[in-house]
Amino acid sequence: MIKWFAKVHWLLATAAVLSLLVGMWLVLAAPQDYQQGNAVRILYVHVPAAKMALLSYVVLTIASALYLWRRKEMWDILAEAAVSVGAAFTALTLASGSIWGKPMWGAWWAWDARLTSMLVLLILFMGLMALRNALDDPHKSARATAVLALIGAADLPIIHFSVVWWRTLHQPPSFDGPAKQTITGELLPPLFVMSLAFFLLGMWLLVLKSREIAARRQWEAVETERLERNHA
Amino acid sequence: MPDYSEYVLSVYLLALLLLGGPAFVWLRRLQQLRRQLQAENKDLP
Repeated sequence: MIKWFAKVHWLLATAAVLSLLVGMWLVLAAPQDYQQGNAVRILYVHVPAAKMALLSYVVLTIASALYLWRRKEMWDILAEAAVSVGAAFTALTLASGSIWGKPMWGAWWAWDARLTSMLVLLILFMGLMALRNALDDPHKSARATAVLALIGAADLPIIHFSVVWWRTLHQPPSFDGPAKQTITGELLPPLFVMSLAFFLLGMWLLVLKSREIAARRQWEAVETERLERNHA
Repeated sequence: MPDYSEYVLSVYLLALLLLGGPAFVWLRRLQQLRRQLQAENKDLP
């Protein structure tokens, strides 16, 4: 899989940059919202970033389950990459939501179910990074992080349904298929293109980080081999 | 209605920093590791 990653690396990067350029052009051309004004343009970053944060955790969950089942290193590499990528998207989701919340809600933060469950996701990603670095034995750390990742997956449905299960300050989904659309059609094209651009960007980051981890592990193996040779 | 442009600009700059920053660091590290591995006559995995 890592060899296949090397093949799609630059293709994904090019597709991500091109779609981001088209997305940004649509964002600038889109009309202002009648209530939010220009602040609606924050949502073209916030919503795709949130989707990618959750998708990163889905990738992490699948890779962790496959690692525990098959014990193949490539699944552990993918899981480690998904943690780094997911943490970046989650941090962006929380920060952009907070910056949007100040002018719209009058507060940077509220202990609302959606915001809190998203903060738990960021803490989970950081905890997974800390756990991996805390254990010296690479097999033990891979197993421990995979188990913690599977336990943490319980946060995903809580994040998704938080705005349905509880009365929250965060609004319910604005677009849940054409039948449940509460957003005006003029704002949808930039949202869709930015979502596609963030998806391609997220996939590229995942591929890039996976390659970097695989190269680092190979280098560590070379170093260990050299040390053993010197001691012999 | 207030303009809110400064809020919008700060979000887009933050996106550049939070996503572009790690991408830049990972790319640099990958290039550095490639050079180190090549010096040992090994290819990237």
